[in-house]
Amino acid sequence: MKILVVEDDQNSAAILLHLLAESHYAIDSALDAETAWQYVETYAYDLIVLDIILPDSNGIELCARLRNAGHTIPVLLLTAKDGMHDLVMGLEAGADDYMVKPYNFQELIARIRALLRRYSDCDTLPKEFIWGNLRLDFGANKVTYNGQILHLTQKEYRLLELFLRYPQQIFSRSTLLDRAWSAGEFPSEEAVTTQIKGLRQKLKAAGISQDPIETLYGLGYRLRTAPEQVTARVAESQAIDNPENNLKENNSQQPDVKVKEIMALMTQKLQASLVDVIAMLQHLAIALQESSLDPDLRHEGFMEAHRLIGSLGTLGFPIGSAIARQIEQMLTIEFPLAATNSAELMQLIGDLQINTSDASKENQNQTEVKPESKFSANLKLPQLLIVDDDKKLVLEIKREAENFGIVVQIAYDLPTARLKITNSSPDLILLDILFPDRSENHPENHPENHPENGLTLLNELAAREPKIPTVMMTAAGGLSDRVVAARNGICAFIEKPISAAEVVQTIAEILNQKRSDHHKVMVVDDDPHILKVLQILLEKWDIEVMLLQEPQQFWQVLETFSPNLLMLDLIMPEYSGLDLCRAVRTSALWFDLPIVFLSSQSDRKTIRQLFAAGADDYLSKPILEEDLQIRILSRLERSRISRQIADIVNKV
Amino acid sequence: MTTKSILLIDDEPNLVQVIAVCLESFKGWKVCVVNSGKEGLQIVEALKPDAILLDVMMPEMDGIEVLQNLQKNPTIQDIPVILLTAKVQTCDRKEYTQMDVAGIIAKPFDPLKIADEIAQMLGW
Repeated sequence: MKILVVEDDQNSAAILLHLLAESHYAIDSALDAETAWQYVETYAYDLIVLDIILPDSNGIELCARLRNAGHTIPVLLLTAKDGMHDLVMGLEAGADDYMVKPYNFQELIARIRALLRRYSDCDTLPKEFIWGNLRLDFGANKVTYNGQILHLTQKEYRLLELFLRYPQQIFSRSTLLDRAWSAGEFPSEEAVTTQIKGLRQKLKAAGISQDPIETLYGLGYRLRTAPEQVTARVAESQAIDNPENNLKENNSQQPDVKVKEIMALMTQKLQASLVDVIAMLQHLAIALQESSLDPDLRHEGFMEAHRLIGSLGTLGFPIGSAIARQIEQMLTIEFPLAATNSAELMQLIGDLQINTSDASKENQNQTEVKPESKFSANLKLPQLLIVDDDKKLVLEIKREAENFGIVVQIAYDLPTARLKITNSSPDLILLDILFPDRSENHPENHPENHPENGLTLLNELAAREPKIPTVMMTAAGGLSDRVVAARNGICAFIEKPISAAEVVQTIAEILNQKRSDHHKVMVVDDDPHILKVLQILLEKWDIEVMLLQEPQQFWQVLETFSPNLLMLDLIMPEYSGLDLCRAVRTSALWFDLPIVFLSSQSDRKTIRQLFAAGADDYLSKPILEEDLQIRILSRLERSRISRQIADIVNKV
Repeated sequence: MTTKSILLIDDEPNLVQVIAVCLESFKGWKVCVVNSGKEGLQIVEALKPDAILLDVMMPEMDGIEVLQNLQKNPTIQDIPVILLTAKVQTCDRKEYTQMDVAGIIAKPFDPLKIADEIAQMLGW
C-alpha cells in the first residue's frame, strides 16, 4: 500500500512517516499542495493524509481539485481543534475522514487502516496469502513458513505481498520500484535485484525447497506456481482426459465457486474504476458540446467504452455493455460526431452510470421488458421482436443484432408473439408470415391456406394503436404479397433466403430512423395539474414527456433530456416563460428549438411579447385537446423534417 | 503429462483475472498474463506457450499487429492464436477469417463456458 502524506510541519511529518513505515506502508511526503499534486499525477496512491493548512494553498482546495479531476483516492484530513468550519468544508470538498490535532497516533493508524479496508479490495480478499506453507498475514503484517516467523525488511515484505497478491502478473524491475519504493528514494533497478536476493535467502534459510519467485530474464519476476497446486492441476487434467473417469464432474463445483468469487471481486473493482471512466466521458461530452473535443480525448473515450463492452457484459451487466457499445459507436472515428450529439452522448453516459450499479444488475438479466419502463431513461436500447419459426435463422439474427446493441426477443408461434407484444411493446417486429415452417415454396404454405398465420398477426398489428413498425420477411415475394404487406403498413419487405447480417443491417437502419423520429417534449409549468393533463394527452400520442415544475433546474434538464419541442408557461415564480425562452434563443445549441407558450392571457400585448421573445406558437389555457394535438404534432413533424434535411446536408 | 500453458495478452485488468481463473480452475492450464502487445512479443519466445489468447483492441500495439509479428517469426508462428474481441460485427469477422487464427472469442463472453470453448477451438 502506498500513502501520500501532505504536511508542512516537518516534525509531525517525520513521526507520521516513521509510524506508517513500521506498518509496512510505502510512504511519500509532500510539504505543499503543488508538490502533492505532482505526486498524485505521477504515482498511484491508496490513501492521502492531508493537512488543511499548507504554505501555498490549503488542504480543502487540494481535495476539491483532486475530486474535480476524477481522483477517488481516499483522503484523511488533519485539522486543528478550532478548525471545525474548515473541517466541514473539507468533507464537503470530498474528504473521507478527519483527525483533529493533536492526534493520537495509534488512532490515526487505525483510521488509516479502516479507510484502506473500505476503499480497497482488502475487505474481500483473504486476510492472508498462501503459497504452499508460506503465509503472509496481511492483517498482522507477518510472514511465516511452516509456522516460523520470517523477519523481512519492509521492501522484502512489500515485494512478497505484490507477488502473492497478483500471482499471474509479471513485474518488471521498474514496476517493482514504482510499487514498493517511495518517490523520495532514488534507487537503481539493482536495488530490486538486491531485495529479491535477500528475500530468497531468507526463504531458503527458513527451509523452503522451491523458490516462489521466478525470474524471467529480460522481463522481470513473477510468482511461481506452488508445488501442490501443480500436482493438483495435473491430476485434474488427467482426469478430464480420461473419459471413464468421473473426476471432472465431481471437481466442477469447486471451479464454479472459485470463478464466481473472482467475478464478484472483479465486479467490485470494475465498479470502483467506473467513477473515473464516467468522469472522463462526461468531460468528453462537455468538450464536444463546446466544440472543443480533442481527437486524443475522443480516442481515449472510444478505447474506454470499448473495454467496458467486454468487462461489463462478462461480469453481469449486459445492458451496461450494450450502452457502452453505443457510446463506442458514437466515438468511433467514422461517426460524424458534432456538438448536436453531445446531449445524446450525455444521456448515454447517464444511462451507463445507472446500469452499472448493483441495483440494476438483477434487472439486467431478465428477458422481459416491463411495460412501465417504455420511456424509462434507464433503458434506451432498441427492442426487436422476431416472429419466425426458422430457429436457425432466428438465432443467427439474434446474435448479429446483439452485436449492434439491439435487445432481441423471439416468438416461434403467434400466441407467444401476441403475449410479447402486449407485455414488452417492442420497437420493431420482424415477422415471417409463413407458419409453420415447411418448404416455403410449397403452395400449401401460402398464407391463405392456413386459418391463422403471420398475415393474421400483420392484420392485427395494422389495426393496433400506437403502431409498431413491422418488417415482413418471407420467401413468398410475389407482387400480391408485397401489395398485401404495403396495405398493412409494413416499413420494409425482406425476401428469403437472406443472411442474418443483411437482415440486421435493414433493421438497424429502420431503428436509427425511428430513433430520430421519436418525439420528446419538455413542459415547464408551475401548476402540477396542467403538467399532469399534458402528460396524459401527449403520451397518448406516443410522445415522450419531461415535466418540470421548478424552472431552477431548467437548463440541466434541457441538456439531459434533449427535447424536440419546449412548452413553457408564461407566468412562473423566479423565472418566467419569457426569461427561459430568451435564454434558449441565445444558446448556440438550442436556438432553433420549437417553443410553444401556454398562457391564460390572450391579449395582443402579451402575444406580441411572446413572439418578440422568440416563441413559435402559443396555446390558451384552458387547453383543448384538439388544439394541442394539431399545434404540437404539426410542430414536431416540421421539426423532424428539418432534422432530416440537416442530416442530409451534413452527409453531403 | 505436461500442463498446457497459455499466454494471455489483454490490457483490460478486470477481465484478465477472470479469464485466468476460469482457465486454471476448469482446465488446470497454466496462464501467464501480460497487459500489452509489446510485452507479449517479448515474452512469447521465452515462454513458448501452447496457445495464445490475444485481445484485438489495445493501445500502442493492437492485437492484429501482434499477430502479424508472431506469424513472421518461424520459432513461434505455429503457436495457435485465439482472438479475444468486442469487435465482432460482420465486417470484422470477415477480416478475422483471413488471418489464420485458431478461433475468435467474442466479448462479452460467459466465464463459465470460455474454458470449454477454447478447448474446443484448440482441440485439447
